[in-house]
Amino acid sequence: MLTETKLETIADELARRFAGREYGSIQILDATAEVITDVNDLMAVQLNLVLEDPTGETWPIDDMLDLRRAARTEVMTFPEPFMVHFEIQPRTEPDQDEPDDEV
Amino acid sequence: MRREIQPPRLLLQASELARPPHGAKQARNTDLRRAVSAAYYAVFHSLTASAAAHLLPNGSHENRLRLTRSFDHGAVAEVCGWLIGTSGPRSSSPARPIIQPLLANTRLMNMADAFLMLQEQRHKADYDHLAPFSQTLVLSHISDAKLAIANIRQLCGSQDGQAFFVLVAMHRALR
Repeated sequence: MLTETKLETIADELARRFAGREYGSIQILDATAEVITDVNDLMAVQLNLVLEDPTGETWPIDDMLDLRRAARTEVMTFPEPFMVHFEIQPRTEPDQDEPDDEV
Repeated sequence: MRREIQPPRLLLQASELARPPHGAKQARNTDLRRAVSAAYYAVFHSLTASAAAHLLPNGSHENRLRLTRSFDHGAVAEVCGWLIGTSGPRSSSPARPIIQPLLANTRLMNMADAFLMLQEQRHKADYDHLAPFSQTLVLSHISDAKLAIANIRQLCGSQDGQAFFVLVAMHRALR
């Protein structure tokens, strides 16, 4: 049974493995990880990734699929299964000063 | 007049919400969050409609729509988790030999992965004030939803699709 402490160690290891990786046109600039309780009340690892901005409107779907498939493959290298979620940000963040929700 | 929920319309709504309104520099935060929710529900409704069509092949359209109300978000998520290997039914469950051949189906695996990702993102979009939602990311989620729905359509009528829909419908007994 995975304890929160064990999962924290795994999360750190997972972040280390993903830092600097590339999946097609996707470049991971920064990777950190934390243990969360997900929408289904399961303890899971959340990978927080900062990606290089895409050349188009967004990243190619095939590259994103490769990234998520890689995460599933990495999970299999640990003795017990667990869920990985992603929190992804582009390098250039949206302009937080823009009063975008003013009515 | 009754108007049913149309997944393609939800995808269209998501795409419209994910772009800046006329004259604005960026999409509104509230719109981006609603776009994620619409993208998730497009996949959920597409999946439950396909499952109902499988379970009631000769049923009326109205009865199929009624049946879709009985599908539970958590049940779909649990079965998707069985496929991608983050959890599994009990060792004696008759679901295990049914799941095994499905693992080689790339469309099904990608759909299951996208469902879980979109469900988590939908939850964050609706409840987590601190979760960042950029236009770039939301457009990526919409692409995922479109592909997931295309995969669901491809699965309809296939042996693997039938097995998946049965697992979703009977998941409580098969856990």
